[in-house]
Amino acid sequence: MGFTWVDARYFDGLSAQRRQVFVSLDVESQRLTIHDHLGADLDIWPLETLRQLRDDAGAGMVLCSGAVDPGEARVILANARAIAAIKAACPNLTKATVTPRTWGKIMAWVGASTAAVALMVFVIVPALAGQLAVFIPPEREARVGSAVLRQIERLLSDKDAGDWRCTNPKGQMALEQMAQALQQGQEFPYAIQVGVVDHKMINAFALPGGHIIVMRGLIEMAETPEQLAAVMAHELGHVAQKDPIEQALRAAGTAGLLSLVLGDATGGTVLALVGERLITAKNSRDVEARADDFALAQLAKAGVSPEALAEFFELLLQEMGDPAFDMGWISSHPPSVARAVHARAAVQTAQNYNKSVSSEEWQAIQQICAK
Amino acid sequence: MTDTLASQGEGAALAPVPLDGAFLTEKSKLFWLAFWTGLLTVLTLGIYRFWARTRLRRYIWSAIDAGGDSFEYTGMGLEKFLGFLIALVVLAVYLGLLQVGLSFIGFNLWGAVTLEPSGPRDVLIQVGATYVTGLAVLPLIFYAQYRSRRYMLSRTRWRGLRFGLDAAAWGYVWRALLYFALSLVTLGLLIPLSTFRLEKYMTDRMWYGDAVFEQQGQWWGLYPAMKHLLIALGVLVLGGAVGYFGLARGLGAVILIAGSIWFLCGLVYYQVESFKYLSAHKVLDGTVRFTSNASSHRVIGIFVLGIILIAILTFVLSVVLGVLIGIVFASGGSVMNGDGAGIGLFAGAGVAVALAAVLGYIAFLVLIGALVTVFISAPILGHYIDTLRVENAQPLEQINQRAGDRMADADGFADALDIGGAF
Repeated sequence: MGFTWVDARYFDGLSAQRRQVFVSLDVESQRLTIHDHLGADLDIWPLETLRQLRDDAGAGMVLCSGAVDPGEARVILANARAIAAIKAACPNLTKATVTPRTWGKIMAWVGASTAAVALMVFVIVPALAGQLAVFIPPEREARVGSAVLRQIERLLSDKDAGDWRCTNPKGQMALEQMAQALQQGQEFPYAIQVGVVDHKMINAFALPGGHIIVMRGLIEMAETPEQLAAVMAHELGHVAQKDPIEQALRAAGTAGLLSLVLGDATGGTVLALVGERLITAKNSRDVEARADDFALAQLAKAGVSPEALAEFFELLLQEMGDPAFDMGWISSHPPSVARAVHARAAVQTAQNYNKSVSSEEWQAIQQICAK
Repeated sequence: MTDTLASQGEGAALAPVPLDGAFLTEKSKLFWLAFWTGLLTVLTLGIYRFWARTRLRRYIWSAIDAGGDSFEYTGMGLEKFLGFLIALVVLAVYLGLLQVGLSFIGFNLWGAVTLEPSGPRDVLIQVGATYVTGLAVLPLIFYAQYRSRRYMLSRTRWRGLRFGLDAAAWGYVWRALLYFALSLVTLGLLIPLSTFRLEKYMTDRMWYGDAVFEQQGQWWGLYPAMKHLLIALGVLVLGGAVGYFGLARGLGAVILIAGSIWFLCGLVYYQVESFKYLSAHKVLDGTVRFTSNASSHRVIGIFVLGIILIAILTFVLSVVLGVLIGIVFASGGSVMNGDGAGIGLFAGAGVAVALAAVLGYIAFLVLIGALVTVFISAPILGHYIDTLRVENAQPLEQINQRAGDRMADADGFADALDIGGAF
């Protein structure tokens, strides 16, 4: 079904002049002919090259010959029957042509950008963070740590400020004694400060500047003082390796990258958070493993059985299940089972191990949050 | 109207012909386009956003009509995607190194401060350490702004001719940084200088076909547009003074709230009035002039009405959704009461309900985004276009085509840095 001499507007793509033209569709010879107002042929377009402007708000149809952008001339049709006829006769109206060269370019840049992001996240930023962490003076680091501590205080205290820390003097003394024993043969650039937080969470962590925070929940869960000592030795390992400040630097370097990739798509922030966890998880599992090794060495020096660390992980497994069990590669820590096995391997059967602290001292630690 | 069209058609009329802008959209068409492309964007984890934005722009551009001829957007999703990949390589390296370096410096500075900031100097350092990263990204943001404007113009056509912007992004960056600093130091008093000079920098490098634009006028010509901002500041100071010195705490708070609302309206007023001034002093090809009759009342009205409408719509929809979910849960419960075999069935239903809830939530966010486009962003743009007029359109016919601008990185930097307005 063709048509002849239908009114249309024409822009030649060379000047801004608008021309009133007539167009004729000849299905037999597969072409659209554009006549000027005097009837002379202006242009002849083969039907297979015709492209339509898509997502058009107008009621008419904007046509060009060739791909939409480089094609210069435009015909704008308003006649509904002519539009229907063209839609029926032209096969490629909405076809986008992508050359193999363009695909090649896309592939190359997909590779390059993936490589660049991976290189930054897994190699350059961690290396840089490790290098720079050494250059932050200890007293500065300690102050950063105190500032972080105050942040945590704000986060955790649902009661009045100042109440969140457990300060029973006897317990504190015993705890410090325990920490002291674990520092044998190690030089720390700042005094190690151990503190207990009145919170039921089973957790402990190290902050920049030698702060080690143990939560009440962890002390309540521990069955022996040695298990607590094992956890503390692990956190001391983080302090010795300057892990907290290094991780802060590293997190700063990778923080924005994922939101760069995902853009401002709805829900993109959540995805970015999940992705970031995936990225940092691998790094931090190596760090955790090294802290475990440090802990085993220090426990041995203090005469405490490395088995305590294994016991602790097994306890953790019983108490909380192993979140890492199903998705080991997501977790920031290695699976507890593997860590327990590793710790048990360090036990030397020939050696006699001591208690970490006396039973009175252990009692004092257990009561450290009592008011 | 048809008379003018016919006479323009052959370039015969000699009298100066004004040419009016018009924004012609169908709300339902725009809504489904925005909603559908938004949904695809989420479902493809954001990858479709390049095509989504391209399609939305194509629609919006084609709805802009000047003298009977609509604009055309010729950008392509694929080229935007490629541009984004290129920008990503640069940004990943730059931002990664910058962030590590700056937080290193930040920790050193931060550490230098005593625990409780004891004087203004300490506070200043602390604030500085926090904002230094943002400042370091600022040049990139200005760079991206200019590049995305250049990309957008090079992909815009009217009557078959391309628009264009010269390749001069770095000149824009240092000027923008300078004026930004000046505005900051003078507590906003030099904002007109910044607005004017930056607009002039862009306009003087902007082309329609082979004809160049020029920004005339003076920067202090924008001060009348600041009127309501200054009044609002006065109100805010008064409210603070009444609350602080006077006994009437409540009255002070009321004045402060009024001042804040006034300030927001003042911002819109500044936008609209500066746009009108700048439009009136733009010249194309030495002869073609423009007039804008945009009204800040209308813009504020569209905004307020849009928000009320969206709030009502989302409320009604969430009630409907809540009832539906309730019904699903209730039917799940009745399965639970059946025999043992029903329990397995219920577990399946639970997963389905959870999935439906997540999908529903995402669809809900996309829906709000689409409603904002339809009831706020598009109508405001439409108002600016409806009230824009080209004073003497005759010389436009003499303008010829310009060469295309390839721009391999398209507006990738703007995309990666999340800037670039509603469309």
